Amino acid sequence: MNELAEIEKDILTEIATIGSGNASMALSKMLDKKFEVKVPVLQLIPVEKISEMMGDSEQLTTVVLIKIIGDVPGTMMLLFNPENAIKLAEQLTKREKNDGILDEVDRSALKEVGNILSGSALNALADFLDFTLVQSIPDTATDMLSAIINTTIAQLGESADKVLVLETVFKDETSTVEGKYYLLFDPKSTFAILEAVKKKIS
Amino acid sequence: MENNKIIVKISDFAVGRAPQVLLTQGIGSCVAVCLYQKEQKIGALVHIMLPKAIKIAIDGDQINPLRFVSTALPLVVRELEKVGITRESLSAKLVGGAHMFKVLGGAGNDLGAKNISAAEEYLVSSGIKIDNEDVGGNVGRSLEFDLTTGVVKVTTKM
Repeated sequence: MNELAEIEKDILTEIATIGSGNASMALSKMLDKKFEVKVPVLQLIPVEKISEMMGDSEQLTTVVLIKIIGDVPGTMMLLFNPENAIKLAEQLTKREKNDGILDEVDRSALKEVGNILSGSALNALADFLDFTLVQSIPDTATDMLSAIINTTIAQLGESADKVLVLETVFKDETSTVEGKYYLLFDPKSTFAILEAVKKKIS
Repeated sequence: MENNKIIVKISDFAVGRAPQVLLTQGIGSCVAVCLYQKEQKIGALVHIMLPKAIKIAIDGDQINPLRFVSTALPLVVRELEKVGITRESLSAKLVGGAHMFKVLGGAGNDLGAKNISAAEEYLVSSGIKIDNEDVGGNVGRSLEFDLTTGVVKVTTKM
């Protein structure tokens, strides 16, 4: 799987837009403020290049991770720089943090954001494509970017050279909270999504 | 960056000699293997993602053999043999194999642990002595492998 046709790219971008649009609406409701969502960027890239695409390998990053199980298995990730993760946690838990460290309460708040975002994105996708999609419980970690990302995507690399990566940047009006939302699918899931959309169009 | 430093990316390797320093960053569940021939001060560093290729790529694509312990380590050892080094004269250090996320499998399905045991298995069966290990836990690591001394310096950010 080397290239996607233009029409396939359009379809997948639309899918990502539906997913991230719903996710940001859910986040807006949760925090009672508007979130701006950029147009998703879609790439089909070798597993080894994904972390590089996301940033410097040693840059500290907080990730919320959810596995997608069901008709099209995949991975969902939310990425924040640690300061942004703390700002978001402060707003969610209505506490002020002075130590700069995410404790258990903050982490469960961030996981809940992951749950809600991925739930709304996946529901929209499942409805649109008539798939059954289930999400795993979320997990979170803060560490060097490439240590986290490569651990997360390694499994996808067992059976495929390239992986479909859908990236959406979201931030609130005042840019106090900014993050990136990722959906990753291996070629098998990508084909299944494209087939489902084509069936729907025709 | 000093120009005697060589950065090794994921699913890649480098062979070097003193005074070079080989380094790799952000090792999570991956395993980094440092191979060293102390008399000649020649060494290799490889940063590997997965233990074993389970099957051929579903879409027929060629997968980088350096992604898997089972294909990467033999390849790197062959490269060292090409410059006249016998595998028996090598010693190995292993770094990485962390368990970063609970949702990515619990007991018996820990990718980091699988990577480490796959590397150990290959090294033992090839007669390469394992000198030292800094593995497991739940923290990412970076390393610098100084080919003048054979010392591997591991750093973490958490």
